[in-house]
Amino acid sequence: MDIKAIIFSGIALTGTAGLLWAGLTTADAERHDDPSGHEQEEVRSLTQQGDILPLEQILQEARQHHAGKVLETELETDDDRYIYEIELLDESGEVWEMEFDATTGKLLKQERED
Amino acid sequence: MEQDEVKVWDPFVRTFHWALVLSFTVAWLSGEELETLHAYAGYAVAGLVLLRMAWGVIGSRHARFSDFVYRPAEVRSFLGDTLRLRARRYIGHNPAGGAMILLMLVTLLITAVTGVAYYGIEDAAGPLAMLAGGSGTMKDAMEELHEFSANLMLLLVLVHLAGVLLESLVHRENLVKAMFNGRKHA
Repeated sequence: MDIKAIIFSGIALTGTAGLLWAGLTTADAERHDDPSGHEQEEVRSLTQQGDILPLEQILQEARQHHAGKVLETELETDDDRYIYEIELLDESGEVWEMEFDATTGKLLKQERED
Repeated sequence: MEQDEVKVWDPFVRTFHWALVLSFTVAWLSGEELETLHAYAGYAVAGLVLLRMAWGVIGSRHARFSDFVYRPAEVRSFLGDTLRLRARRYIGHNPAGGAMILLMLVTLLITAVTGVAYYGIEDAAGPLAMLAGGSGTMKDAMEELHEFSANLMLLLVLVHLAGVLLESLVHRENLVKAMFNGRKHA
């Protein structure tokens, strides 16, 4: 059999298996860390320093736009700005993604997820 | 090997095909929820596509681009014949199958590049982490394009499956089996 084909197959197989394995195990590790995650600590210290508004305040604001259940919250940086990303399921079953400036609380963007 | 069978798909073509099926499926299913798994599955897809492109130059006869890239007019006439159920049989990829491979490779490359760019801008992670803090417009564009090309890929997969089924019926051969054992009847 062609040695080139064997080498290429070997790379493809070990590479795919290795990457998928790494993806599975890393994802697990992250989920274990989550409850006391590094991110939450960062959010807390930024809030205490007054760099960003508390998440609770943003959530209240978000609920005024769309009453419903909050699915996910995330703090991100974008162009050196802090942004809260809120995902929310409203009462008619639509999922909304909203972005708030974390410093001023201003609503930057909202869109319906499809 | 049975007497009237010929080797068509070399070991890499087959390994590549099924490793890509697995990686793309994992990437598709983990897309919304498991970011790390999604990224690694995406790397696997990208790596496989690059290997396949190299193999398209140095690989065995029916694995080469020169063997399965036909002029658009030939692809059209082959598709016309197929719809009339009188397409001729090709031992390697037929013109429509060859065009599908090109479309899929390009679509997967676009999906991988936009995904890696989005990951870099959004999470400062992955090979393009230096894009972190890039403009929001750029990030949104990458996200849109990533989703569009991933959806397009799913559509191509469905058309590919329909094509495989149709050709298998028209020529009374099991093309799925051939992609496992590499052999077709002569």
